[in-house]
Amino acid sequence: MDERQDLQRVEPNERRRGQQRSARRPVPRSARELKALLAVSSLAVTLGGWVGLSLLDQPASAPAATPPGATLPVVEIGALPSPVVVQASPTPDSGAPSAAASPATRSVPSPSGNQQLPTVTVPRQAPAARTRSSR
Amino acid sequence: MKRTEHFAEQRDAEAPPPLRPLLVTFAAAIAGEAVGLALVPVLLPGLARSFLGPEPKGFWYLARSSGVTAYVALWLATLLGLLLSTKMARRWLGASVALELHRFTSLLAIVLAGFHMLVLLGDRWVGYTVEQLLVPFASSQYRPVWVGLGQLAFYGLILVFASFWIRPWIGTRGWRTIHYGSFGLFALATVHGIGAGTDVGGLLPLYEVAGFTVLWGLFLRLLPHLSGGGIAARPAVERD
Repeated sequence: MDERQDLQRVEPNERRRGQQRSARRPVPRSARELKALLAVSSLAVTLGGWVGLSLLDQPASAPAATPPGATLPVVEIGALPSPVVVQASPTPDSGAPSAAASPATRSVPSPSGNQQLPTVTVPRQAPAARTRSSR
Repeated sequence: MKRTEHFAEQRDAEAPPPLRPLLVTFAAAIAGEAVGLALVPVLLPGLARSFLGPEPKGFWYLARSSGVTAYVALWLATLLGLLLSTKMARRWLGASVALELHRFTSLLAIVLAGFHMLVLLGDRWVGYTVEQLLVPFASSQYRPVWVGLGQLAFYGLILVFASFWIRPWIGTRGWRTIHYGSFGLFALATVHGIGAGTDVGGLLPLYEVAGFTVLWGLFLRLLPHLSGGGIAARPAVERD
């Protein structure tokens, strides 16, 4: 009788310890499905964001640079003898400007000959307009 | 029966989660990234080009998208934690499901935030070094204060996540104290997103909704305490 009472007294504690030691309850199926859904959707959002930003920013990231030597349509400022020729200048971040690296410009005389029109100079590599705010 | 279920749920909440699924998740993440790196240049040459050239922008784009995704995961983790502590999770999702999702979204937020940081190493425009990425407020290139707050939030998130495993050593009170800090790190992450994010213009509604829902959940959590009932240390046992 005493032995049975001892067993009854001890058993709940042992059972509780055994429960703590035993493996955790299996993860419910719905939790597993939701976890998989979350993982896949977060991956999709991350990759989709990359694709979307790449596509959206394409025109801004690759500005149509005018190559040196290309002819530009001339704005009608009187009768010019020839179209303005674009000439190259060094990139702005190529160091201190020197006499050799100074932008070569060409003066276009006006038809009357006593007045010079402004010259056109295009940098060799037009710096992309990437500011911190545009990032 | 309800009492037995409750004890089982409570035991699950207190027991440290198994390590194997965590290792499997990390291994799967690394394997997925390796496969992606191998396949993307072949399947999507246009996108692969965003990583080439003198000033590749692909790293910046990935940092932005993963940062936003990490923030959403952190938001979900915080909400699920609030649902668990206010017993609403038991009604809607079931406590064990909510607990699993709470831990998983926390892990997801850490993985995505870590990726968000690491991928910035490839961006030459900001030009971060490893030291600048790891040490809060060590950078000066780009909005250093806001970036530093994000770094603090990342380390706080790791600490809160680790508290699941070190709970047997720090005790329930220590675990709870660390968990209360998660609201602070959520606020830090929100401030980081608004201050350092360049997408804040379009994403401001996200930050507003996230902040409002977490504040509302926190209010519901504190309501019993405010009304004089005190915050129950543990969910009350339902009577049979």
